[in-house]
Parts: sequence; structure tokens; C-alpha cells
Amino acid sequence: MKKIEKEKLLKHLEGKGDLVRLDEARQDPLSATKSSHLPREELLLLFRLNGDKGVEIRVPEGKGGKILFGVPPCEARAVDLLDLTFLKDRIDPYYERKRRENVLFVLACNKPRSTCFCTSFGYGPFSGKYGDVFMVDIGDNLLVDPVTEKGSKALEGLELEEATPSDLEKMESLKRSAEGAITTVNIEGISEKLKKMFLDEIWADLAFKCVNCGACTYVCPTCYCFDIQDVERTNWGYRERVWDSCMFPIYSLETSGHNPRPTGVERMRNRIMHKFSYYPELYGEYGCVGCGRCIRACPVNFDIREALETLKEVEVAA
Amino acid sequence: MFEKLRETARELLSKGEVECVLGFAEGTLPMFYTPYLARKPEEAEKLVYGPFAAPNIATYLRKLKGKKAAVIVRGCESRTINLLISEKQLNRDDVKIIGVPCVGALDRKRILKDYGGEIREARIEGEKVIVKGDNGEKAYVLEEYISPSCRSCLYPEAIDPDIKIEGPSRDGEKADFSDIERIEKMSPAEKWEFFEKELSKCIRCYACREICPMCYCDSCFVDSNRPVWVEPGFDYSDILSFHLIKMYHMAGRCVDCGACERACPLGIRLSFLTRKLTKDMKEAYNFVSGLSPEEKPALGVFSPDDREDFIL
Amino acid sequence: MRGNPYIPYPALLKRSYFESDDFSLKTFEFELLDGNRIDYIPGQFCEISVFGKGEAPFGIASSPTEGHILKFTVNKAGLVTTALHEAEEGSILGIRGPLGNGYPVEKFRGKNVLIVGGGFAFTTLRSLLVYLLNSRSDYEEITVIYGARTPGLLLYREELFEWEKRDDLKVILTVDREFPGWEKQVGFVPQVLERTAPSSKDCYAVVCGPPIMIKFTLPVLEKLGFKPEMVYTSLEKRMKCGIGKCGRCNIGPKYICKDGPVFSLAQLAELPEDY
Ligand SMILES: Cc1cc2nc3c(=O)[nH]c(=O)nc-3n(C[C@H](O)[C@H](O)[C@H](O)COP(=O)(O)OP(=O)(O)OC[C@H]3O[C@@H](n4cnc5c(N)ncnc54)[C@H](O)[C@@H]3O)c2cc1C
Ligand code: SF4
Ligand code: SF4
Ligand code: SF4
Ligand code: SF4
Ligand code: SF4
Ligand code: FES
Repeated sequence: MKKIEKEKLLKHLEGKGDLVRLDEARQDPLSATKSSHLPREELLLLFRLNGDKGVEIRVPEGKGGKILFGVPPCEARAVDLLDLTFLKDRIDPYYERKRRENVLFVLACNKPRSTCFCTSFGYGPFSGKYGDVFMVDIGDNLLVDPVTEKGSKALEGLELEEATPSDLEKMESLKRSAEGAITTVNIEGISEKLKKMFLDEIWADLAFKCVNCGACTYVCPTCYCFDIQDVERTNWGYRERVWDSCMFPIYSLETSGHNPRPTGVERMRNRIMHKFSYYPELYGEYGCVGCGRCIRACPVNFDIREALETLKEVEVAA
Repeated sequence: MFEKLRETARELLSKGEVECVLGFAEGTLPMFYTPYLARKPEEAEKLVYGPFAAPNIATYLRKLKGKKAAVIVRGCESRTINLLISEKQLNRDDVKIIGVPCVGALDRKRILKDYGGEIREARIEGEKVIVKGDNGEKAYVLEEYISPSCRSCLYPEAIDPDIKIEGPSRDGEKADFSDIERIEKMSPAEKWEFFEKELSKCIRCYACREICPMCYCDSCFVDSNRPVWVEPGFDYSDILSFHLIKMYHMAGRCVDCGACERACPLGIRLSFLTRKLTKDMKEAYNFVSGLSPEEKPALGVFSPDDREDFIL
Repeated sequence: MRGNPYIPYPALLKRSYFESDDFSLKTFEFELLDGNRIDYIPGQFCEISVFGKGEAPFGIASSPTEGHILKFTVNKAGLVTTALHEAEEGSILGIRGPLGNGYPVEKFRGKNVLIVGGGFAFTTLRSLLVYLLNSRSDYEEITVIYGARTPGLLLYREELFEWEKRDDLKVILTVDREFPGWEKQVGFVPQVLERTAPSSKDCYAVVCGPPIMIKFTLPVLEKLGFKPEMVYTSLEKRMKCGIGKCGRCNIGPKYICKDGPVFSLAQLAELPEDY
């Protein structure tokens, strides 16, 4: 690993793209990492009706990339999970452009929060394999390590010092104390088990206190559901996508009035199933990174860790 | 300190007088009680009440339709029940009301902010909240961190409960609307700026709507596409429309429990709207919502004595 | 489909006409502008845009063997469908597609095919039937059972009556109740199917209709000996993107828009009941 003073690195990054600082704002309710790839509102196209000349369609141009500085490992991992939806099968061009242009400077978490449970997913606050550059704040300096080609390029032209053995020791000790502060939830086998639990009665109990708002899914860095709507204007109208959530009744309501997920019970089941059963089945990865944002955002203290523990306790017929 | 309540609940459950007791239990986060449904006598041991309970528990009554339930309420929650009865959403005979004393609900987010680092434990000691966490132990005077809505609460104690648990409560006589008066004195431009600063943070997650016991419409105006009342997206005008139309629907129906404000993940001060509503209803019609289950909604009736000076 | 899957092709509404006598169903014929063409198979669908109102998914009712005109039959229901019903001939709308998997027509070669339809869900079944008839000799026996509440609600009546006359095809039409002047079958589709009792030997069945009809039809097929791998149906759920991104149309880990809408009963047996 190499090292550099934080101020020098920040100076170097100036003017290379919109700099989004996450190193100090990790307490923000919303994940800037998600918003920078999947904004809460995004134009898909503009249209203008020209009488008999038909319709003119324009695709908005991108604004250029962002440098996300200080992304926690969990959120960088979450972007890798978003890739599974947006870069597979048919590539989503709006997402793909941002993914290509944005540079993620990941910063190891020296101080995990009480709600962090990332270590449940086989990685942790010091995992260096996410994003483009991995950084560790060892006090006087940042240790930096490029993860991708894009990351190496972003560091080009910088005079980096070699990290000393004592720097690395410092990092190890920070790592131990961070990992030690996290309570891991043992989720082994949960996806296999959930497959058999679709009709289980536990969902009603689990969902009882949930009021079906969008808070948990809006703040979740891996949730990506969106709605598409048109906005009519006299001149250029537009079609946009906006965040949506499987917790809302209208998300699945059909025009006939039929709703395959009529109550909060089915909706909660979908949210948990999507992350802990469907994702693993489709991609071999959990759809949750254990960041704990949903726990902090929930107005009624629905705690996904507790939900997982409850689900683990349920006995299902083989 | 919850012994009396737990005993009452245990008895109701073991005698089969009710199927369940709705209230709060300790949550997984510090300073956060979570809604809880006790169904067995031994589950009554988990019941708690006090400033750490953020939601309005009456919201959950709609999930208990058809069940014989006891519900543990503070003043605002008992007024909600009256409103729900008057709006035919609830049968008085289906609920047993257990009133608990209330010193107000905690403005949890403000403590989180003032403390700075991660809080890992908290407890109430007398008039203080003692928190422990990454920045060591600190004590906060509870009254200074009470939700704004509670500070202007006129009826902190449950109205006509079936069972009453005694204890110290706030004083409704001391309801304080001074911060609302401060906003009233602002110029229109200042007001506009003030509200824009707050509301433009809104992400339309609708936690404030879903947590509200009086927002129970099957299809909400914001979800309607024929006609479109509020466009998708995050233009300030749309966010403002959402909040203002919601407030219109709440006039005379909002009990000003502050649950929406405490629910907002972005910490938006929604109580500036609800409390202005409460203040105006009181001043214009001498009306406080939910004082009795027989009461008609203030804006649903007309009286020749109604104030007219706002009609142009 | 285009590089950017969210951008519709401009499409000229060439012709539209009421399909049912209660004015609730209208058929629309589109031609893609600027020389665009789409390759599709029966059972696939498109998102039709009414700019300013939005998009909604509709099964393609034309067959690719009929040329480049795209045909849809739409029930007037909500925002987009109402706007569509109001659109005048000559207007320019948008079409995005084809989307979804479609019927496994390749598998049908050399086999018997049974088509069972109810109500206005006959759209993609028309596409399928026209497609099969286009190379009739590739398939063995073809049987169609189609019902609606009243004769006036049967889609594509003229064509149905023509098909009825063919001797290389068995067409059975039914309405729910007796109706003045109606001399064909009377009864619900599942009952008529039971009465007709087509052989399940070497036979693929394709069933589309309202959920209640499907619910009662499937047990009859099972009784007749149809294997779950050889019975197909097309599912519906609220949709937006149509390409497996927006999340809402999932049944378990599958997305109706991308992995469906056509599923065999064998596939459905593996999926949770989430539709
Ligand atoms: C694969 C598929 C094929 C279909 N084929 C046909 C057809 O051939 N003819 C026909 O009349 N109808 C068809 N439908 C149903 C049709 O899509 C809905 O009736 C239509 O979306 C209603 O849109 P609306 O804007 O009028 O209603 P609104 O209630 O205003 O709906 C708003 C939006 O919600 C979504 N939505 C609501 N209901 C449905 C639904 N049932 N399915 C999918 N999206 C929905 C759409 O995006 C719609 O624009 C099909 C649906 C699917 C999924
Ligand atoms: S579900 Fe909760 S803990 Fe998991 S990734 Fe989403 S916000 Fe984080
Ligand atoms: S949990 Fe729900 S909102 Fe989140 S991605 Fe999955 S389906 Fe979408
Ligand atoms: S869950 Fe917490 S400790 Fe783990 S990577 Fe995320 S912020 Fe860091
Ligand atoms: S934030 Fe909490 S109450 Fe809202 S939908 Fe999520 S779990 Fe339910
Ligand atoms: S809870 Fe807050 S962010 Fe969510 S809709 Fe209400 S005001 Fe907006
Ligand atoms: S319609 Fe968007 S995922 Fe299926």
C-alpha cells in the first residue's frame, strides 16, 4: 500500500469531476453512492408533439462523472449488486454511463455504527476489493490502494509514499478494533430456508409493526425499484423514472383493482425474500450488504437483524 | 416502573377479556420503543411506555379490526381513538382503553445530533436522559428534548380511559405555541424561505403519511393518476402540494401527536404545519380534535358563529 | 430492440375500431415510422406510449406472418388505455418492443395444439393461431375453444366465423349464457372444454383468460391428461419498464416481463403464488 496526506489527495482530485464528500457525511440518511448511480428522479427522454409532423424524442445527455470520496465498503459493494440488475441482459444505458464515469474512493470504516452488520456477509469494514480506490485513514495519512484500472488512473500524477511497516500495523489494529465492534448475524442457510417459507405464518407477525412506507427501501443502497411516469407540458414534456418501493400498495396494484400483494404482510415478505432468497437464487449473492441504514430510517424500529433472527428460529417442514 | 401497566395487561389477557394488548416494547435502538402486541399473559412483561415511544399507537388499530383489543394510550392517542370512532373507523366496544401518564415524546433525532457520535445505550433517570456511546456518557434534560408537538399539547392525559395508570404527566395548561407565533410574524418571503428549506429535503417516502393514524384512505390523492394532483419527481412545487393538501385533509382531524415528524427519516420539522393547524383550529373555532367520540369534524359542520374574517 | 431499451419507436396509428359491441375494447393498427421493423413471435408484448400520459403493456395481436402492421386490442381501463381509446387515426404514438419471451412455437411443430381463451385475453392467441395457420402443415390437429360473456364481446368475430368454416381446424365458440340469436355453445369455457374433451396425446395447450377462468380450466386439462410441461399460460402483473429492471413484476425470482409472460404449468409449480 501507498500513503498520502488527505489534503494533497483532495487537491489532486479537484476539477476532475464533481467531488462528493462522504468521508465526513456518513451519517446522512440517504446513500449518496446509490443516488449517484440511480438518482431519485431521472429523465429518460423528452418528447414534443408536433401536430402531423409527429413526435420529436430527445434523450438527455449525461452531466459527467462524479468522484465519490469516502464511500463505505458496504455502499461500494451495493453498487456491485446494482450492476447485476442494470448491466445484465439488457444494459440500462443511464446507469451504465454513470457507473462508467463515477470514481469510487472507498474509505475503510474506523468507527462502525451500532447498526452495522456487514461482517455477516463475508466482508467487512476494511475490505479492500470494492470501488476503484481503497483508502484507510490512519490519522496523519491516508493509505491508498488502487482497486481498478480506473482507480490507478485517478491516482496518476500523485507522488505517493510507500507505507511503512508501522503504518500497516496501525491499519491492522484499526481493522481489528472495527471488526470487533460489529455484531455479526449468522445468516447461513437462510436463503435455502426462505424458499420453503413463502406460505409461512411468520410473515404476519413480522410485518405487524411495519406501516409500509418507503423509508427503508429509499435509504437502502441496494434497493433499486423505480416507477416510470410521463409529465405533460405544452412544449417539451418528459418521461422520467423515480424511486419506488415494493412496500407501497400501488407498486403492485393493477388497474382492475387486483393486487397480488394486498397487505403489508405480502409486501414485507417480498422485501425480505428479494434480498435473502431471490437475489441469492439469481446471482449467488445476498441483496443486502448489512449497512443498517434501513434500521436507522425506520419510523417504528423494524430491525432487519431481528427479523433475520426470527426467521432463523422458525421451524419449517423439510 | 411499568409494573402497574404490566399487571393490568396480564390480567386482561389471562382473564380473556381481550385477545391482545397493543402498546410498546423496548426496541433494538437506544431511545426507541417499538410497537408491540402482547397476546399471551407472559408477553405483558415486555410492555413499556414513556418518552421513547415515537409512533402514535392508534395507527395500529386498523390492523386489529375485528379483534377485541386493549390499547395503551397517551392523551393524543386517546383523542385519535375518539376521532376514529367518530369517523366510523372503529367501534368503541371493541377497544379497552388503558391510559398512561405522559411527559411528552422525545425528539430523538435532536439528541442524536447533539451527541454527535454513535449512541449505544440510553436510559431515563428522573428528568434526564442519560446516553452512553462513542463520545462517553452525557445527560440531557428531557424537557429540553421533548417533541415540539408535545410542548404545545393541551391534553397530555388520556380522555375517558377504561383503566388509568397514574403517574406524573405534563401540564396541558402550559401548552406553548411561541415558536409558531414566531413564524406567524415572519414576512411572506421569510415564511416561504423557511418552509422551502425544511420541505425541500423531502424524498416522498411517505413515512409521515403511513405513520399517521388519520391518513387511512385506501387511495391517497398523491397516488392518483386521473387526475394528477401531484406530479412525480421532486420539484419543490410538488413536494409542497403534497404537504399542503395533506394538511387540508388533516384540519380538525390532526391530533398533533408529532408522530409524522418523528417518523421522517430526513428529520423534516413537520410539526410547524401540524401545530399551526392545531393553533388555528383552537383560535378560530375553539376546537380541539378528538375530545369526544361524538364530536363532528370541525370543518364538516357550519355554525353561524364561525369566524369569517378569513373569507374574502 | 434499440440500444436504449427505454426509447420507443414513433408509430403511426393507421386504423382503430371498436372490437366489442359495448365500446370497451378497441383494436389499434400501427405502423412503425422511419422504416423501423420489429421481429417478434406470438405471445410477446409491447409497451405503447401515449406521450404525456405514459406507457402500458399490451400483448401483440397480429402475427409476424401478416406483414409489418402491429395490431393490439385494448380494454379501456385507466389513464393510458383511455388516452389510447381517444387517440385519433393518424396520430403518432410510441411503441417499445418486442418484450417478453412469447409462446414456444418451435416446440409445437409436429404436435397437436389446443388453444383455450376467455374474454379479451384472446389477443396473443389470435397471433398464435394466425401464425400456426400460416404454415398449417407444420402442425397436427389444431383446436380452439374460445368464450366470452356475450357474443358481442368475442374478439375478432369475423375472423372466428371464417376459421370455424375451415376443415383443418376445430373452432368451438361459447358464451356464458343463452343469448338471442346465438346458436353455438353456451357455457363457461372450462365446462365446454370438459364436454369437448380434446385428446391430450402429443398435444400442447395454451390457455389465456381472466384469472377465474384459468383457475377452473387448469384442473380440467389435468383431468384430460395434459402434462404440466405442455400447458402454457400468459401471466399479467403491473408493469413499467418491461425489461426486468424496475422490479415490480416479479413472481419469486422471476420477472414476468423478462422471463415471461409465458410460463408452463411446470415452471409455475416451482414459483410462489405471488400474482
Ligand atoms: C404482458 C401483458 C399483456 C397485456 N395485454 C393486454 C392486452 O392485449 N389488452 C389489454 O387491454 N390489456 C392488456 N394488458 C393489461 C394492460 O397493460 C393494463 O390494463 C394497462 O396497463 C392499464 O393501464 P392504464 O394506464 O389504462 O391504467 P392505470 O390504472 O391508469 O395504470 C397506470 C399504470 O400502471 C401499470 N399497470 C396497471 N395495471 C396493469 C396491468 N394489469 N398490467 C400491467 N401494467 C399495469 C401500467 O404501467 C399503467 O400505465 C396486458 C398486461 C400485461 C402485463
Ligand atoms: S436491507 Fe437494510 S441493511 Fe440491508 S443493504 Fe438495505 S439498508 Fe442496508
Ligand atoms: S426489496 Fe423491494 S424495493 Fe428493494 S429492490 Fe427489492 S423489490 Fe425493490
Ligand atoms: S456496514 Fe458499517 S462498518 Fe460495515 S462497511 Fe458499512 S459503514 Fe462500514
Ligand atoms: S421503514 Fe419500517 S415501517 Fe417503513 S416500510 Fe420499512 S420496515 Fe416498514
Ligand atoms: S416522512 Fe419526511 S421525507 Fe418522507 S414523505 Fe414525509 S416529509 Fe417527506
Ligand atoms: S416491468 Fe419492470 S421489472 Fe418487469
